[in-house]
Amino acid sequence: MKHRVFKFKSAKENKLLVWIPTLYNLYVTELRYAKDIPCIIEDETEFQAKKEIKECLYSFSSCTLILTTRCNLSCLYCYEKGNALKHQNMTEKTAFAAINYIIDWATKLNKIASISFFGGEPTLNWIILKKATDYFKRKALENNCRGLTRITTNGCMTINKAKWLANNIDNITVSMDGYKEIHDWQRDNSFNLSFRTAKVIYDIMPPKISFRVTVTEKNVQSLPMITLFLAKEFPNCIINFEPVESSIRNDCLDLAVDYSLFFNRFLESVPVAASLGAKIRTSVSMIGSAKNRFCGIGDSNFMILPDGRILACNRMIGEDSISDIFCYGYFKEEEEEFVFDDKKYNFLQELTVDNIQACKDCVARFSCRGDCPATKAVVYKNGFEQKTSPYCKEIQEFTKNLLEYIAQNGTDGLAIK
Amino acid sequence: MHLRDLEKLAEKVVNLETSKIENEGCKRDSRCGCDNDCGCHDCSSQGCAHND
Repeated sequence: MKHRVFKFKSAKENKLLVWIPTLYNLYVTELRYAKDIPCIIEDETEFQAKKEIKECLYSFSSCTLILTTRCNLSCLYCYEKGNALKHQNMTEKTAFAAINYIIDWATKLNKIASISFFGGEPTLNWIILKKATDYFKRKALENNCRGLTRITTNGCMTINKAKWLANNIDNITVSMDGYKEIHDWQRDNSFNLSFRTAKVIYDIMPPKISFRVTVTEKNVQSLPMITLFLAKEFPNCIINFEPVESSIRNDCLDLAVDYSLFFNRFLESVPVAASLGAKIRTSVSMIGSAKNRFCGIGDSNFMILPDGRILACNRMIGEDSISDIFCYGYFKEEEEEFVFDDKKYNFLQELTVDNIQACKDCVARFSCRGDCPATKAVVYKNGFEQKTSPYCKEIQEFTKNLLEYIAQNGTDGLAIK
Repeated sequence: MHLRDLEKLAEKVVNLETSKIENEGCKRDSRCGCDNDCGCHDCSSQGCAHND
C-alpha cells in the first residue's frame, strides 16, 4: 500500500520530522535526508480508517439519552440557552425502548452496549436516570452482553446522589472550568457544589472521573494552572479542554477564544499533566486514532431527545432548519418503535473527511477529520459538507506542534486516542 | 522508497497508536485514556467501547 508522507523541519536544529498518519508513525531523522524522503512511501501494511462496525444503517449498540432539557445552571456559553426549548423530561417508555433497541443490536453483533446520559442536566430527571440505569444493567445481564454507562453532569447535586453515581455509573464527566474564581464566573457560581461532587466520586472510584473544561477568552491563559489544579486535586484524571463554541451562539462572541492561543496554552499544559500522571486532550489532538469522521455523526450517534426526536448531534437540539439536518428520525410512542429517515441519514453518513477535497493532502487530516459538522453547518450553512474547518490554519499548525512535542517528549500527559 | 528504507534513516520512531517509542518500552499506563468518541464538545455523550 502507498502511504502519504508529511515532512517538516523540526524546531530542533538539523532535524526533520516525518509523519505517516496511516501507519501512526512519527520519525525523527537528520534534516539532510529531506530530499531523499518522498511524499509517498510503500509498505505492506494496509490501512483502513477506524469506524463503527454495523450490520445495517441503524444497528446501534450505543445511545445517548437526553434525559431532560432542564438545567439548574445558566452558564455563560451554554448553547442550549439560545434555543428557548420547552422544558421536557424523558419518559420511562422512551428510555426503555432505546435501551431495548441497543441491547438487541449489541447482543446480535456481540458488541458492548453503551448508554450515555446527557441533558440539560441529566440528574434533574433523577428517577428516570436511576430506572434507566437499572433496566439497562438488567437487560444487559439477561442477554449476556457487556454494558457500559456514562454521564455528563455539572455536579450540582446532593452528596447522596454523587455517591450513587460513583457506585452505579462507569464513566462520569464533570464539567469544571478551573479553580473557583474562573469556574464561578463561567458556570453560574457552581464551583463549591461541582467540586464537592467530583471529590465524592473520586474518593469512591478515582478512575471513573474525567473533566470537561470549556475554554473561553477568560480562562485560556490559565490552562496550565487549571491543569495543575485539577491534576493535583484528582491525580491521574483525564481533562478534556474544548474552546467555547461561539459560532453556535452570537451572544457569546465576547467569550470566543483565539485558537492559536488556545493550542499554545494546551501544549504548555501537557508537561504539567504528565508530571502529575494526568492526561489532557482536545478534539483535534486525537492523533493516535485515524478515523475519517470528526465524531459519531452518521456513524454511532443515536441520541434521543425527550420529545422523541433522534439526533446525530446533541448540540443540534433546536427546531430550526440547521438543527433539522441533524435530526434523522423519531420515536413513535404508540408502536414503541424508532422510525428513521433514510435520506437524511444517508446525507449524514457522507460527512467524512474523505469527501472534502481540500482536506485530501492535509497533515491534520486524521486528527481534525474535517472538523465539527455542526459548527460548519452553522458557520457556512449551504454546502458546509464540502468545507474545511473555519480554524483550518490553526489546526494544521497545532498538529505540527503537537507532533514536534511528541517527537521530543513522547505522549505522557496526552490522551491521543 | 520503501518504509524499511525510511526506518534505516530514522533516529527515533514513535508509534502513536501504541504510544511506543522504539527502544524505550511501552508508555501506556493501565488506564486506556481513550474514548470511542470525537473528543469534541460533549463528546462524553458517546460511550467508550473499549474492551480493556
